[in-house]
Parts: sequence; C-alpha cells; structure tokens
Amino acid sequence: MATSALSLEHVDAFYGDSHVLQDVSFELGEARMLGLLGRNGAGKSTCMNVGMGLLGARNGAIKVFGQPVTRLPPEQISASGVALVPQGRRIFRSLTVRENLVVAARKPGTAGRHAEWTIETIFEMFPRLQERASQMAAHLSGGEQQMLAIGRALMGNPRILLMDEPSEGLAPQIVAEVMATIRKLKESGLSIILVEQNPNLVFDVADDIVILNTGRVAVVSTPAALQKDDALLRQHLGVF
Amino acid sequence: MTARLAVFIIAIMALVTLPQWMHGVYYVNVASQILFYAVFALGLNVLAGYAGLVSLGHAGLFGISAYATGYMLNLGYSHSVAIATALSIGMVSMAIYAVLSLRATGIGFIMITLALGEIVWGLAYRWISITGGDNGINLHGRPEPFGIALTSPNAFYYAALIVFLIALAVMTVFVRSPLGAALMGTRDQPRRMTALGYHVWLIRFFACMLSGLLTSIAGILFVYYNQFISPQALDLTASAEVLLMVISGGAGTLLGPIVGSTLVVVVKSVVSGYIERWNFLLGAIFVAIVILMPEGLVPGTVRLWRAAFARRRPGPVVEATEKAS
Repeated sequence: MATSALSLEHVDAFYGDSHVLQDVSFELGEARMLGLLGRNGAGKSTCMNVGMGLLGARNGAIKVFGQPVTRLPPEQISASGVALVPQGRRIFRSLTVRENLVVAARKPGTAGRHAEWTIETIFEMFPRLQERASQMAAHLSGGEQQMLAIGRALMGNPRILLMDEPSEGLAPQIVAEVMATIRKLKESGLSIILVEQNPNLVFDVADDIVILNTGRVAVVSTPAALQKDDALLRQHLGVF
Repeated sequence: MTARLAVFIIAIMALVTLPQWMHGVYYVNVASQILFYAVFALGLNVLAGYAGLVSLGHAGLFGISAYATGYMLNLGYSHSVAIATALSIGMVSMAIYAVLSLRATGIGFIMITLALGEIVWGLAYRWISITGGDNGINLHGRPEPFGIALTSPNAFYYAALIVFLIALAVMTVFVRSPLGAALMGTRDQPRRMTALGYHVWLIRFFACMLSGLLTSIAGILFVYYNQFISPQALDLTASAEVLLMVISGGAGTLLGPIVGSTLVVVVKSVVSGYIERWNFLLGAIFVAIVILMPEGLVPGTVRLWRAAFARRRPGPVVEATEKAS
C-alpha cells in the first residue's frame, strides 16, 4: 500500500459503557479510496467520528500522514487536513447555500497537493448549488443537500475526506450523480474513506475494502477479491 | 432601485427629520429611548438570536457601564474618560460573564447569566459607598462632542440616532460576514462546527464580547438620558424586558430587536398614559405574538405578507389560455 494518509491502530472506543470499536486497525493509503462496509451497528460511523476526533479513542492510536492526532480536539484534526461529510448531511439549515460554503472555507493543507477549493470551483462542480446560492439550505432537496454537504467539506481544502453514507435516502439517479462526483474527487488525488451500506456502490470506486462486524475488523481486502467471494459477503453483509 | 433600498432610505429620512415632524419634546424623548433600547436589544440579539444563548442577566452589564459612567463623572473626571472607563469595565465584566456562563448552554447558560445578573443587582443595592444603594447615582450634565451640547432633547436624539445607526451597521456587517455565519453555525450544530475546524467556545466568546460592547454603549446612553441610575435599572425585570424585545420582534433578525424595543417603549411610555393597566396590555400583546407569530413580529409579518402575495399572484398564462379554449 502507498504512504498512509490516515491510520487507526488498535483503536477501542466506547459510547458510555458500550464497547463499540474493539481493537480496530486499518490504513487509508494516500490518494486512495477505502470502502468501509458493514451492517447496521457494525461501527462504521463510529470509525468516522473517531477519525474526526468527535469521539475519543480510549486505547490505540490515530495518525494523519504519520502524525499522531489521537488526543487532539476535532478543530485541530480538521486543521491537519481531515474533513467529514456526515451521515444525514447535517447542513446548516438556517444559513443560505453560500453561507454554508463560506463558513467552511479554509486555506489548503500543508501538503498542498490539491487545487484550492473555492466557492467558484464548488459551483462549477455543482451548478445546481449556484442556482440556489441565496436560498436557505433548509429548502434544498435531499440530493442538493448532499451536494452541499460535500461542497462544505471540500471548502476546508482537506487532504483526507471521510464520507459517511453519502447515498443514504437519495433517489437512484441522484446517487449516480453523487458517485460520479466521488469518482472525480478520487481522481483529483484526495484520500477518501467511503462508508456505505450498499457494497455495489463501493466496489465500483474503492481501491481497498474493510468490512466491520460488531465493532471489529472482519475483512481487509480489495473489491476484485471480495466480489468473487459470495460466501464471505453473505457472512458479513448478508447480501449476494 | 429595489423596494428594500427605497424603504431603507424612507426610514432613514423619517428618523433624521423626526424632531421636525414629531410635535412635542416628550415624543422626541420617547424616540431617544427607543433608540438606546434598540442598541441594547441588538446587543442581546447577538447572543439570544445568532448564538442561541439566551441571557437573563444582561441588565447587569447594562447597569455596570451606566454605574461606571455615573461614578467616574461624580469623581470629577471628564465625559471622555468616564465613557472610556465605562466601556472598559463593561467589556471586562462581559469577559467574566462569558468565561463563567459559557461553561454551559441551554438552560444552564440561562441560569448562570440569571445568577450573575442577580449578583450585580445585589452589589448595586448593597455596595452603598460606590453605588449609592437604593438612592442610586445622580449625574449632572451631558457630554459636548465637537462643541455640540447634548442637553436639549433634539440634540440627544441625534446623538442616540448616530450611535444606533453605527450599531446597526456593525451588526449588518457582522451578520453577513463569515464570522457571523460561523456563529449561526455554532447555534445550529456546534458539533459539526468543531468538525469544520472551528473553536466553538472562542466564537461564542467573541459573540459575548460584541454583545457586551453594544450593551455597555446602551447603558451609557441610558444614564446620560436619565441623568440617574439605580438598582431598578438592572434587576431581573429589566433583563426579561429586553429579552422580550428581542423575542417579540424576532430573534436572529436585524430588524426584530428594533421593532421589539419600539413596541415595548411605546406601550410603556405612550400607551400607559391612556391605559392604566398597560402591563396587562403588554402581556396580552406578547401572548398574541407567541400564538400568532411564534418566530416574532418581523419574520411573522414577512411570512404572512408572502402568503398573501402568493395567493394573489395570477396563474400561469398557459393555464389560462387552455381554460379559455
């Protein structure tokens, strides 16, 4: 695997007394896409929250481009180049589309590999957002809200993008649009973790796959290898 | 020219010419009160409206700057020194308020600010050597900026109007700035703001300081207007009153606190001359606003206006043609 962009090493995380992540370890390679799969409650979103610092890891280490960030608050992890597209979009509903983007604007990370994302470049990628720039975000459709959530994360000029179920609740045509965007982002050199319930979406775009099962890493593989192993997919995801 | 700009120009012209068309000194004084209470409400609106932090102790800050002005003037200092000292003390007090109260949000924030406000009220009431206790502090004279004496009602009105317009301009710029958007982001989704790289506490602290600055300015105008300050000006009722101005007008809007302060001051100062039970009337108005326009008078009126406009709008031409054929 290429240089590690984000790594979780033997991470344990808890919600209260519930031990939700148990000795979880995986690596996201630089400029690669890692698909994180698993059933409901497997710990996928928790991994995203731990990677972003929104939930503290009780044991283990989290590293961003080799630098430990385990005990850092979310704002410092964000400053080191990590951005999250959260599950359920969670846009700022009382702000306009433009304000949602402005509020997330940051200069590019130290690695400086990626073109600087600005409102103009975001609008180029999502022309529909430009049409609705002055509208309150609450009035956007689900697909547009997802585009805004992705645009907002990109405005931080991240080096690592964590995407938590970006296709959730969207119509198939909109899902195709969102996935096309994700493909473009990958081609631009961003390191991406894509959390999904639907493995077919991930197999199309990911370089590496990690499957979580009840808070543990069950499988580390590649899409090509996994697609051939129906029994394994059935065992951990209940599909195929 | 857009309709919004036209309304703005007409409003400014009406305010500037108010002493000419408003007959009677009393009403000019009422207008001055509306202006400095509007500055006070704009200050509280930074927290209650844009930051989602409802304070029930802002009258304490208002009173601190008013007392500081009166105390310094009575010690023989000039107006400029008194005003600068009052602003400084007001800001330091706000910083202390913020450090203590920003440990919580929601009901916790309300209770801490309420407690701080009551502490300040208690000090004003009991620290007699500084505050004069229940007798308060009397002032003699108003400042003379650029040689213009503010002793007449008209002159004071214009001074209050200039301060009000500056405060409104500051708030307009702030609300439209990325920092203003960030503050609203911390109100809506503080957790998400941390994930976007923001230090939520610092943004809220900055909001507190801006709120404290506007509140201190309003306190100074208040004490110069009344030439007197007593503990009554900073009790819980005063804090609740300014909060009602913000909520009734529309929290989180620029015009809301101005409309709210106009409503409260007019009912207290003008309507009370005609109706003995004006408190009952004010309460009834607030209940009506909460029931009919829970978002406040300004956003509620906009909503009703849009609904009425949409209803009157004619249908598409194509549809009409099809029906005709």
